[in-house]
Amino acid sequence: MSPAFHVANVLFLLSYLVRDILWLRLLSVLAQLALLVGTVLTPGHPLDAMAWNTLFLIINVVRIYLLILERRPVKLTEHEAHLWELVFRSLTPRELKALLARGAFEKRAAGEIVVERGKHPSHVLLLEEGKVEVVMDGRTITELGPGSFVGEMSFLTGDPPRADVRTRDDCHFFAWPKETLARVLKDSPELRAHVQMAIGQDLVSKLRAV
Amino acid sequence: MVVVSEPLPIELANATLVDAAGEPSTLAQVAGGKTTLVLFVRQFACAGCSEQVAALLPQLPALRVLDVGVVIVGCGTVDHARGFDERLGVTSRGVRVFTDPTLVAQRAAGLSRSRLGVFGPRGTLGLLRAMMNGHKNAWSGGDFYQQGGALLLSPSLRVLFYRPQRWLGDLVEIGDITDVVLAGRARENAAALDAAVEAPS
Repeated sequence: MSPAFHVANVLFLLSYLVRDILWLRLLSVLAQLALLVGTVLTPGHPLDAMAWNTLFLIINVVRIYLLILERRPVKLTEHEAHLWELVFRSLTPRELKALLARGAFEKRAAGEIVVERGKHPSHVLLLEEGKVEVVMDGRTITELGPGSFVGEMSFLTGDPPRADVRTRDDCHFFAWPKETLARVLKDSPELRAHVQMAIGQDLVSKLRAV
Repeated sequence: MVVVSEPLPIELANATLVDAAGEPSTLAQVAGGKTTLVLFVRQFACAGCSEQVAALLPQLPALRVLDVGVVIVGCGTVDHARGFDERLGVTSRGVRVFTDPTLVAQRAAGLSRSRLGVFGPRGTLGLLRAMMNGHKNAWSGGDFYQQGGALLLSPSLRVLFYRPQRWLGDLVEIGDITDVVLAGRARENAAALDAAVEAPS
């Protein structure tokens, strides 16, 4: 038997001893390479063994690539960091990135209606900068500042909005399409708990303000 | 029979629950006065119940913000209830633990008692999943065949959410309950807006 087989098995042994999945896969790749060498050096070059081993090697290399991507440090942009500061302190930067990957930042000019009474909004908005006013029958009922959700009441209840929401200044929002946000929250119970808490805090403070 | 948006059945409201100190109270006393999630666990020692509590814990901050009380009800002895809390540390997180060893509350809540729900394929898989997730299982923490479930009650004891469990490991999605509370709070906000616009300026 070729020494490469022994090297491969020692590497497999080491891979079984480590706890970290990345090291396990790295050692497995080395072991599979050694095994491949051993197979090539074997008289008759058993092709079936080489094919299986190559398949395992490819799977491991792809998984290693994904693991490295997952472990890269996450850098938040200025606006993302501001949202984290305002609303999502309980999320890790990676979780925040995952949540924000499903929507986009939007700018709205002063005086623009962002939620119209009686009309289901297509997005849930999170105000990052500026102020909006909640207007009913021509009367401003309350003002909302950075960190407030807009359109979340329709999102939660399915009812149409009872009031207009109009920007007072030039505003920066983060906007999630309603269906996309619902899907994200359904797929990730951890993220859902954080977002529910953020919306809950916002609802409670709005109720106090009104 | 428990029906969503109806008042809590009287026999369930009057069911006696005993806390870890041995003090009896009715469910109405325990849950009345504020929105309360009543989480029935199968018993106090099963891996599926521990897994259900693990699913509850990340939701507690949101429930706290929304001023929702959380009560866990099992069916073992007071010592079982105490041991359950010592293992999972729920009372330190503001959750109250009670037991009803007579199973009157569980019966009135329409929660089944099922051997198949424990030893059938789904129950067996549920047990295996919970144990693989690191939850310990023991055979003595109450009635082993009793199934759990969840009830969300309004301050006036109206049923806002009801979900019986059918087998071991048939976990209640606590996020669905938080959604019901959030929708309720959103409607309160809408009503407050209406009231504000009607008020003289």
